[in-house]
Amino acid sequence: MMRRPLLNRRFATFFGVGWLAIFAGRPADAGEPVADFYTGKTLQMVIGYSVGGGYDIYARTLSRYMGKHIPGNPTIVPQNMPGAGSLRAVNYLAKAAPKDGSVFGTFARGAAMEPLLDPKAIPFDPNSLKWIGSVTNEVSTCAFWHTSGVKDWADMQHKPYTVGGTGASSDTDVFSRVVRHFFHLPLKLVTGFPGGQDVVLSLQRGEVDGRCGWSWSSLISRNRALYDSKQIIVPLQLGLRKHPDLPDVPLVLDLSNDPKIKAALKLIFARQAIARPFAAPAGVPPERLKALRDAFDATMRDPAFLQEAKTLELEVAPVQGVEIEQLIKDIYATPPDIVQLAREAMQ
Amino acid sequence: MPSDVMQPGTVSVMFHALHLLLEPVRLLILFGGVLIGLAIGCIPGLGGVVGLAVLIPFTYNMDAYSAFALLLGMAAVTTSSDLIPAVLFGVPGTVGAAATVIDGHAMARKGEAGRAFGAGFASSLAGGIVGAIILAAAVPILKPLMLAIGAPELLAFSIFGLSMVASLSGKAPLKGLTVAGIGLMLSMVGTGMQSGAPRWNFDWLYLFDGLPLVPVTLGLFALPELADLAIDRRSITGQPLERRKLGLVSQWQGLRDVIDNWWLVLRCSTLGVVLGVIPGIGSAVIDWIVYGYAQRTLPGSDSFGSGDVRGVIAPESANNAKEGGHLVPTIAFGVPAGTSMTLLLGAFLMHGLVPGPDMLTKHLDVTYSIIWSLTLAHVIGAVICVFGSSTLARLATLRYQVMLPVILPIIFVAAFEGSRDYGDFFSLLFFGACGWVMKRLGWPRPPLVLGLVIGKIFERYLFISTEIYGGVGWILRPVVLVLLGVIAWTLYRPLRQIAEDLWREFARTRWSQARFGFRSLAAAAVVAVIVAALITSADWPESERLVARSAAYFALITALLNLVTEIFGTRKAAQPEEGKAALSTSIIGRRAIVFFGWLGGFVASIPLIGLIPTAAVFVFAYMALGFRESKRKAVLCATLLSLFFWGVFGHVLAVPWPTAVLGDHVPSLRTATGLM
Repeated sequence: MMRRPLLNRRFATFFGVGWLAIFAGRPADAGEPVADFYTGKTLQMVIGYSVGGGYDIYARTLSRYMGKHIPGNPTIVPQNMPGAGSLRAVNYLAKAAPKDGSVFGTFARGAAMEPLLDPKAIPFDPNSLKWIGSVTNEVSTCAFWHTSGVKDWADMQHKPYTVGGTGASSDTDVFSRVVRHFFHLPLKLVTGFPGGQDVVLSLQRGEVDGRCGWSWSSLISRNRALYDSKQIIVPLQLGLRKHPDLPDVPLVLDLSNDPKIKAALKLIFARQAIARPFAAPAGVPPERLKALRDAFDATMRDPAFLQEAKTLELEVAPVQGVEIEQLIKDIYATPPDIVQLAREAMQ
Repeated sequence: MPSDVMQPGTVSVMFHALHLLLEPVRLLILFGGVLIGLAIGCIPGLGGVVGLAVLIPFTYNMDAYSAFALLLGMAAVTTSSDLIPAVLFGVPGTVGAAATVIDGHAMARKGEAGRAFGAGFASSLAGGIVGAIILAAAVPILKPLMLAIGAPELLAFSIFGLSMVASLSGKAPLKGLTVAGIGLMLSMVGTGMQSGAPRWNFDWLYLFDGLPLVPVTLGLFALPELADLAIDRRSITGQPLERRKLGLVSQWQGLRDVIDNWWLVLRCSTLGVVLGVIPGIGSAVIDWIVYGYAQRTLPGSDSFGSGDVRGVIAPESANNAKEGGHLVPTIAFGVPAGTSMTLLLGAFLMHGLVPGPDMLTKHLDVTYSIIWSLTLAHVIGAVICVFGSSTLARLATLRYQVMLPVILPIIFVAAFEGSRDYGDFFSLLFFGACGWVMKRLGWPRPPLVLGLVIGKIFERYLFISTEIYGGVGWILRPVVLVLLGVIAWTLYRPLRQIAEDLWREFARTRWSQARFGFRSLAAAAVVAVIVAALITSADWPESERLVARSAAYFALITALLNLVTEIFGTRKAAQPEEGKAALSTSIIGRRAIVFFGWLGGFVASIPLIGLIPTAAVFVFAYMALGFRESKRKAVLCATLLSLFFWGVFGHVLAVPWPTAVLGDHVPSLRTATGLM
């Protein structure tokens, strides 16, 4: 009987310490200057994809440098929330996440336009997010294996060929269908490959002739040797502007003279302009949103961040939050007949 | 390219890489990786993928050799230690240890846990080394090798995997084939890849990317064992263990078993490597395919399932060898063969290494350091396991009143790693209940996993092969012909057996003596589900229907035949498992309802107060109220476990906890704890 009280006390201490450790989080917040709010805080950065992918690498790199540009120098903790092509993360940000400026995140570049272009997509209110910025814009390409016989845009219009895709809603498929539809290409799409690099392997086996919707930055970072040795040929680039590396490759927007088709193409490829987007829930206090946007812009100029991006072969061509907001506004102001044209092309 | 690496320099690069790896700091990092990997393997539900996700960010500032020493050191051994909970509790430590449960856990129940450990660790080690050797030997020919394996070959391999259903169905072929068909159908759930049309996803965001494997495997294989523990009310071994049965002496016996079966180890390891090359085929099915293979080819395989040591050796050696195979397409072409390799690919790029031809020339030393990391990790892992497990094996003597309340929350939190969605809890509970019914009524569970994993791969390569090579053109490729020949040859005997059994069964059928019970009820329910699936898929686009509905029609036929044998067949009464006192059906039913009631309460409480608070409350309530343990012990266990979750999952894994009503109403609690 002598031992019991002792055990109890020791145990009670242990128990108390345990729960204290769980509850000793951050103090509750009140309306206060931005720096006070963020001081000692942990910011949650939601990533709509799993570890190791392109979105993840961009987000994690950003998370390491952005904190010190926010007043109060909070720590940014990346959290992966993959699912439904990052729709889960979008939904979380738009609906469930706290709107106090302690959460922001990244997701598919097309997430904001998809509901407009795909009538079957889950409805989404583009005003439910506040854009912080995009680390880079991106140019996509159609590329072919050297033995396929497709060497330029004229070949793409006339010689029959096969391109590999990674699933109906992926860029590889959507972009292939769009160019086939608008330019009546003799393009055959074989889809179902597990990933983009599987298509590249299939190219080398001679199973498929090419791949459309292949982002130039990933082509060059993953398969530079094949491009330099001219085993891969790029006859077409897809985006709103030409990539500086590809001045002589025709841009899809320049290939049609029909203003309606041009407008539809612009609508579809607009997502390339915000390739690595970051956004916070709408409802974040304006001064905190401004702090996040300013911090994002400052990070994009931070030499240490740029150095690391260079080592990781990440392109940096930042787009500001306000610019994205304008872009999305423009997209949603597109006349219905153009939207209809784009919808048909994407099917 | 091969000519470059065939130069005599290759051998010196190989030893240079070893030399680099043996530097004290790197060796220490490797050792740290192995320790982390062993720990992750022991925790049910967590595997190499989770480990990689956690560790990769830490390797930013390391050199490539150290980074891969850490990552592969960890990833290599998760499949060594995952047999510990599989043997002790019948709960697979990773998705790859489900097959080990069958004979490993049966051995533990016979008091042979030590022997199972010895055999498991030794075959893990042997498999790991065989995998590394094959990879090392294949380095010079990796490129031509991968170029020779096209879509038709991958399709043929996936058919080979599916063909194992025949031997994994045991004595219930009709049920096994039905379950395999349902598994195939489950693999179609989500979004169709040809047209993007929804398939059986009920507009539920959780199912858009398909069913996640982790909660399904945990539900199918872990919960039923635990449910039976709660129903039979005994510790796992049934009687107190003798110390010597756990010690090194009995492990030594397991090691001797492995040496005696060296030819089996070699065959299974090789099969593990080959299957590991195929994108999408991971440890969750490799263990079952190899188990089926061993069962079919070994003499006296009737003892499989009742504690045959070879049933431990086969899957363990293959699962540890597969990492060697996984790395082949990753290194040679940057094509990830599985989720873990997708993550590893990210690590490659992070360190400025571009997987592809460079890895076989310019960065050959890194490639060899990876192979050495695999080898050394397996050796270190095996040694630690051998000496650590005799202590761990005593856990099997833990009373169920303590063990169940602690392990169940771990399984829930681990299942949440499936896709970090509330739906993971439903999947776990649903497949747990199904798994338990299947176990009780003699429906084999492995074919479900086989169908679920391979179904999508099969569909994928079926479309690509027929699109590119024409309707039958793909069959005429030499490798495909050989593989299909092998499949036909190995299937012939079991299929004839099945047909003969069926014929006999139907010949004995007494049409006048219909019997209706739980068995026929279950069989009828399965038929109903399949019919519902057929009705709901009728208006899908043609390309999405083909495989899904073929599987459904196939399952419907076998399910109907099964229903007939259940109702009219002359089945002998089901025999209770060895050494198990038969409980009356009503007691079993009552206890099962109580058990799943507790789990249902768990799931229902999460949206109210959050996952971790629920876990804490559950441990306390189940222990103190459910099993009448002392309140002090219950509080202690609840505290320790929530601290563990909070630290490991909340902070190291940065899991975004599901939001809860309590947090909505008392926001200060949410901001203070971050748990709700």
